[in-house]
Formats: sequence, C-alpha cells, structure tokens
Amino acid sequence: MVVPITYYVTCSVILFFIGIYCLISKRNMIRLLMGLEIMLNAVNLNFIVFSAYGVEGIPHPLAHLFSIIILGVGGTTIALGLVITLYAYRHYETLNVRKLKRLRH
Amino acid sequence: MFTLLLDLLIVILITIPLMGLLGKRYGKEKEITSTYTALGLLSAILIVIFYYSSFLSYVRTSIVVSCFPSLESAYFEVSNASMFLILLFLIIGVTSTVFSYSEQSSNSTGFYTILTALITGLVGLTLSGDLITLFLFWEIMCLSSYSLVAFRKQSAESIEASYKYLIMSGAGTITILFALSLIYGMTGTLNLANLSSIGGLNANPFFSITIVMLLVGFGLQAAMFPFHTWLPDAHAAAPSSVSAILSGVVVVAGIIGLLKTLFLIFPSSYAIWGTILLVFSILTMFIGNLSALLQDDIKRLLAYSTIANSGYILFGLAIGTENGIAGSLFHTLNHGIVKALLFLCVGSIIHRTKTRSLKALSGIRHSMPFTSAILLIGLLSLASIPPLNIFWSELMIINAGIMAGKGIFSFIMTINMILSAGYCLRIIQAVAIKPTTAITKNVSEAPRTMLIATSIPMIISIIIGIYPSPFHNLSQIAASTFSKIIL
Repeated sequence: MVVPITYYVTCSVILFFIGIYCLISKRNMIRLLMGLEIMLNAVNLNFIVFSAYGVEGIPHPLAHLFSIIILGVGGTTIALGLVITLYAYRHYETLNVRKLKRLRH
Repeated sequence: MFTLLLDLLIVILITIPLMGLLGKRYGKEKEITSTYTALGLLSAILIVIFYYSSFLSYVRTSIVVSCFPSLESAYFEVSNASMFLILLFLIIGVTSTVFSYSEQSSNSTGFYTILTALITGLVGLTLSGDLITLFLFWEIMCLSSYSLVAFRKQSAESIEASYKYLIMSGAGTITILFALSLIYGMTGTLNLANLSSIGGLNANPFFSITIVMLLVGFGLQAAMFPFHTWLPDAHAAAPSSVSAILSGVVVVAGIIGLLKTLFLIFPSSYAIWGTILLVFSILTMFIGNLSALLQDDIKRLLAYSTIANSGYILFGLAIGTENGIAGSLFHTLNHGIVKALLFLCVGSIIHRTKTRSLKALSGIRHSMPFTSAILLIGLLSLASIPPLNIFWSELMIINAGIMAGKGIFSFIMTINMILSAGYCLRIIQAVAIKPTTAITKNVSEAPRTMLIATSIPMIISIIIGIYPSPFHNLSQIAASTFSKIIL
C-alpha cells in the first residue's frame, strides 16, 4: 500500500507551523534556534517526499542533493547563532530573549 | 570552475587569510589585507567591464558547470541585468574596503575575509541560473552579513541586532526554501530557464501559497513592510563601512530574488503578486519615511530611509511593465551609491565625534568642512533635488506608474518624496546651519582614506545626475531581460 503524498505534505506543513509557533512564543534564545531547525526539517521532508513521488520507483537525485546541502547550511546557521547567543549571554547574563531590549526606541 | 568572475572572487576570498598571516609576520596586517582586497575587487571590476561586455549583445547566456550538461547541473546565467547589478556591488565593495582601512582597528583579516565573502555571495546570487545555486549563494551572503553585523562583539547592541537579524532572516530563508520545495514538487525541476518555459502552473492548489511564501521570504530581506523591523537595528549597529554595503546592496538581494522567481517563474499570475506587492510597497514607503522623520540617531534615520527607498524599488517591480523594472533597476543603482555615500560620511563623522545623536552633531561643518560638503551633496540627492541622480530614477518610476494606469499610486509616491525631503532638510539644518556644540567644536577633519572613499560615490552620483542618459539606457537594456517574459 502506498501512503498518499498529501499525508506527507500535511505533516511537513504542520512541522513548519510548529517551528513558527516556537519562534513566536518561546523566550529561550537556544529554543528559537531549535525552532529554525524544526522548520528546516519540514523543508527536507518535503524535498525527499517529492523526489520519491515524481517518477514511480525511481527517486530523483536532485532533491536528495539539495536536502544534504540544506543540512550543511542549516548546521552553519545554527553554529553562528550559538556563537552569537554565547556573546549575548556574556553581555546580558541571561538567555531570555525578552530581556534583550537595549534597542527598543 | 565557475565563471571567471566568481573564480577570481573565491580565490581572493581564500587567499586573504594567507595574506593576513604574511602581514602579521611583518607587523603590517591591516595594510596588506586591505590593499589586497581593494586590488582584488578592482580587478573584478575590470573583468566585468572588459570580459563580459562581449555578452551584452545576447539577452541571456547560460553557463553550465558540469561535464555532462543536464537539467540537474548547476547553471550560471550572464545577462545584462546581472552585469548591471554586479558593477554596483563591486564599486560599493571597493569603496567600503578603502573606507574601513581607517575605521577598522582590530582583526582586519577576519573583517576583509567576511566582507569579500559577502560580495562573492551577492555576485553568485545575481549570476545564478538555477534555484539551488541561488540558495547556496544567498546563504553565503546571509551568514556573512550576520557575522559582519556582530563584528564589534564587545558592544551589546551589535550582538542583539545580529541575533534579531539572524532569527528573522533565518525564518525568511526557510520560508523561501519551503516555497522552492513546493515548486520542485509541482514541476520536478529547479532550473530557472526550464521553469520559465513551462508556464501553466496555475491549476495547482499550492500555487498561490508558493507565491505568498516567496513574497514573504524575499520581502523580508528587502525590508518589506511587516518584516522590516530587523533593518534599523542591524544597519545602525554594524560598523559604518558594513552599513554602507548592507543598506546599499544587501537589500537589493531580496529584489533580485523577487525578479528571478516571480518574473521568471510566475509571470502569468501577475494579477496575484502584482496586487500584493503594490499594496505592501506603498505601506513600506510610508513606514520608512514617517519613522525616519522621528529619529534622533542619525544612522537609524538613514536605515529607515533605506526602508522607504526599498518601497520605491518594490513599487517599480509591482508596476510590472518594462519601464517600471527599468526604473527599479536604475533606482537600485542610484540608491546604492547615494546610501553608501551617506553611511560612509556619517561613519567618518562618528569616527571622529563618537556620537550618533543628531542634536550633538549640530554645526559639524565648521570642524569637518570636506566631509560635510560631501554629506550635503548626498543628502540633496536623497531629497530628490533635480540635478542629482536619485531624482531621475524616481521620475522614471513615477512615469512608469502613470503610463501603466496606476496614477494614484504614483501620486502617493510623490507625497513620500516630499516626506523624505523633510528629514533630509532636517539633517542639513543640523549639520550646516545650527551653531556648534561642545562635542563638534574640537574635532579634526576625517582621515584622508575616508575622504577618498566618500568622494568616489559622490563623483559617480554627480556624473549620473548631470548626464543620466547612458545609465538610463543601460537600465532599459537590463530590464528587457525580464520583461521579455511578462505581459
């Protein structure tokens, strides 16, 4: 039995919105980065599913390549984000993102 | 490996750290790295002028990076529009490099490496011919701009602005990626030339979701209205030479993304995205100009003015005709040059006075006459006074709006031009007319490298202002790359 493609796409859309919810509601700076990571995984799931369903039985290599690139690039983004979080912690001595408000004019 | 231009830039990017090592041994790290970067970018400009001028006779030339060309291989496209924009990027890159020689005090190797990475990312983004390459260079550009904003890591303000920028822009990038995955799912390819020839995507239910996601993602980088909040923080917190690049050029990356995706892939559904873009470009103008009127921090004021000008460029795209796109591209050039000029002038004033408050800077012209004169020329241009360059491109966009039957929106844009003249005159009053304060009385004129760096964009601005027709024609030719497809 083949699972219909809409199930997968619904799942990835739900994952994407979980990530956005995390970005909107969470206060911890590291959790926000995890939210970005969840959204990236939703995109990866989409690519892999579409590559499998394009032609029956033959996965398209382009999407696999792209999702590996996305994993690498996502890793660098998160690494840079953690570096910035570390510096922010040294300046503010908290990870609460609501406490970072020297820029509110 | 890639195209000649990108190869050169990547080689420079890799060899700057080596030059830094060499310079450390002789104790002249800053001198050697900055000279090397400036010379490298200058040679890139020469390559664009002499090598790529042969491409200008064709509308688009594809370059495949693979032994066996197929739909899956990486493509680069050399078109008139990309050459036009790349020249702007490289000129502003050279200017900032020269300027940052006096501004940057520590870790110059890291600074010039990331700066070159930013310009490489922008050039690759402009040349990209398929969406994977576009994403890769987009991400190079984004990562280097986050790190440049956070470059002064001892100031809490830079770190906070950079974190905000990273989270917002990261979410925007992932939204673009989601849209790309939907495009891939609908068509099975990510090649731009192939996608633009397919057409007929209209029947799919995911179609309008894709368009909205692309608008959100690229619009975030172009500071479109609901997503503009990162821009004033990031541009004000960065070092001034970086603000010049961010304001003049990185905002353009979002515009390039919109041009490449909406105009090439979805030209038939102009009715959907044209309307969304029109409404939000008008809102962007108003938010930018009205917020700029209230600022006291001079760098934040200029950053808000960038939002407003981004609104003008988006309005040109939303008009959708060839004249509209040409006006947008011309305004991109003019605004990039003038905003680089303004940020660099303000940067050299801040370098001497160590304050960003407009009240504290009043009467600066008595102690820094040359910098203030250059600043005044830039401000007059930003206020769209006729013999300077921004006037011509704004006129072009307004004209295109009237010719396309969107006269009301052109009228709204004219109101915005008056508002922008308002804050420009406020700075002019503070700089030139008000009496000196305690801070501005005892400062000396900016260093010579800063004066050289600020006078390059000033000369270009005056030349375009007095003799606009060759640049006008160039932007018309560049716009024809995109308008072949639409309407």
